[in-house]
Amino acid sequence: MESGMRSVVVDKLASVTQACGLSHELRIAPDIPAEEGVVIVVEVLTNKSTYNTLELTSGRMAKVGKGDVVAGALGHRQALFGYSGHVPEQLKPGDVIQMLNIGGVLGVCDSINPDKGRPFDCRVLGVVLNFPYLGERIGVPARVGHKALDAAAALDTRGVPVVALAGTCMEAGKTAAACAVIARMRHRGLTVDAFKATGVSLRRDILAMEDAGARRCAIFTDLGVVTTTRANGPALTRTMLSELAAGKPDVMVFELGDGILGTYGVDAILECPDIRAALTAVILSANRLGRREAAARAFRDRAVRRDRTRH
Amino acid sequence: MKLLRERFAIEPCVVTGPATDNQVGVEIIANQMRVAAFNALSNGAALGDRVIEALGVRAAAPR
Repeated sequence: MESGMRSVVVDKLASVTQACGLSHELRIAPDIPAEEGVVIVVEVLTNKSTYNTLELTSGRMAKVGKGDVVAGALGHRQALFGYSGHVPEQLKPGDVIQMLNIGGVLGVCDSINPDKGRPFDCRVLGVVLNFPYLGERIGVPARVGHKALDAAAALDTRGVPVVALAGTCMEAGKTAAACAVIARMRHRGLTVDAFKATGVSLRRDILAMEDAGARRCAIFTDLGVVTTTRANGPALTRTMLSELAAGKPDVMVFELGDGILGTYGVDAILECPDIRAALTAVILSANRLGRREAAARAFRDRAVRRDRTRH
Repeated sequence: MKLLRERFAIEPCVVTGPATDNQVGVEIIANQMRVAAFNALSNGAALGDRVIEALGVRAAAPR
């Protein structure tokens, strides 16, 4: 792994890399494992006028421009209102990939949303190395997360009540609702811990929950997952519920990012009997009622009222 | 709602989101779906109180 190793100064550390504790001067190598969660450095090749910010490890949103050198992580995305993309099978320095979200997730873009414009094109510079062996200059590819997810993790909420927020789709107001509920609970003297169980890595939502008064917050990225799926969603949820419950909050609140029928594993979580049994309350965040649905309901209501009047 | 109830056997304690942006949406949800509805932005305290009530936890009296 050390052949071709070199130093690079990075302008921006994307929030997806937060657990790695990277500095702005990194050692990179050309042998890149093309796997989700691997931290890489890229150079931004384009400018854009919308959806042109990056969430940094500090939580600040920074404007990104052509020439910026950014540390992010490989991952996939399948967003209804954003970009879709995948992790390539192979990756080498010089390849051009795209920035798939504002948390610094990088992959090959398959589909764009016209509202967001084309994603940033990024030239791959190399994989970030970290040096875990004390006194040895053996670099290994850096990966996101504080620790790896235990797929067999057991669920133990220790009797702490759990509130889950599910939505009809992304941008259905789940985070706003979570923050309102957390703030009210704090105002009424309750200690609340919160986490985001599904979606694509971005800390914005849990930072908002923290700002609303949550004592401790967590996100799946902390467990090495860039993008959740049906395969890892349930284990992530069990792990974060159990870990936060160990701190004995009065209530745990968690958001199921994306819609119930999206591809990030919300349905797989809700299908698990043990997780369902742990949910004390579920909040549904619904997008606007369809005009046709609302009209049909209004028409039906009027018909029922007319019918009752006649009889 | 239908999906939560029929596929997952989950009964939400409250509905929120853009569907509750105005009183018409709140009333349609409350009357047709038989579940409380509050808007998080305009009525966040009531939303929180409804959830606290559903949890059955002991909390300080509302301010």
